[in-house]
Amino acid sequence: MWQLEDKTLGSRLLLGTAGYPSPEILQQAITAANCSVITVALKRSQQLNADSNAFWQLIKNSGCELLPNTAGCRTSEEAITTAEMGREIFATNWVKLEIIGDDYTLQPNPFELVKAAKQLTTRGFRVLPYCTEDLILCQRLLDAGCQTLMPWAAPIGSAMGPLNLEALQLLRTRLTDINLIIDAGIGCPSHACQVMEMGFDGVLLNSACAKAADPVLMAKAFANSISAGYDAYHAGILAPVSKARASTPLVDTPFWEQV
Amino acid sequence: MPKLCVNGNWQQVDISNLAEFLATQFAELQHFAVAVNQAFVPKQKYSRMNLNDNDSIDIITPMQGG
Repeated sequence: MWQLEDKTLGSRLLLGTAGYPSPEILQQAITAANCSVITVALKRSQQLNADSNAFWQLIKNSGCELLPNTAGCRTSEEAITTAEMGREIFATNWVKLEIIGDDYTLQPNPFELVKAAKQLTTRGFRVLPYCTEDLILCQRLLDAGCQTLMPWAAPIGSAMGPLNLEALQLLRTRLTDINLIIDAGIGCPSHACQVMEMGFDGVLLNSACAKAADPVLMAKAFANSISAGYDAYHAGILAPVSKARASTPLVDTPFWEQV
Repeated sequence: MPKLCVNGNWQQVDISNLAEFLATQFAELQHFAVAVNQAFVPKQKYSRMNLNDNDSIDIITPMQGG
């Protein structure tokens, strides 16, 4: 179990709900992932339809904590308004703060992010910002009242895995007392395992699971990999060296000759 | 009769109160939030919100997201 914001959770896998082949597969993936948190979003509704009610039932029946995002927002004002609407609809003060600065990289706009984070924490939100691996940005977000940070591994949906390992490691080394959740750019379970082995606290992913050939099996794979990476980090990983180290003691082995 | 932009579509309505507007056009919608002129309007303020010509109303519902 671990503490994320004001909740005690079982799983360190946070799962996005977009892009699955069907609601049934989404539901099965959530079950297979055994996740504790799922992300959701908001859209304009032209009229009532069965899909919106069905999705509502699905997320409510999942038993997961809901983390509304501010996807599509480009300014702090848009994100704040979206967060307020998310709070009213989903009855949670958690918000995944996303403010995009570039249509190609979908990377966060750091300036608007800090501005929005300050406002939202003042208004009682628990802000989980999708940010870059920039240490100064992360420190400013903490100054703005965030208690969890979610740096990207790589651009959203790119599946490239963690690109800037040095910067991510620096974040972990310098920001020891907060939850750091890798969000975006994960492609395969070994990526998730890798960041957990670095000491990160959780992984949020969507496309890597939703767009897999078998999303349900992939959800299970990610759950296993995140658990394995977490255990490995806490078990103490053997540090690499540039020379061989015999695992079998060589003294007195047959044909061993003393030098 | 104000002309309103509702979720990006212009329409003429003969209602000038937000609560009444929602009750007539979105009566069956259960889980939603509203912004008028890009400003969030809490549920408890619907009945006190008057709609004016050229106001923009966004009715927002849950959807899948990453």
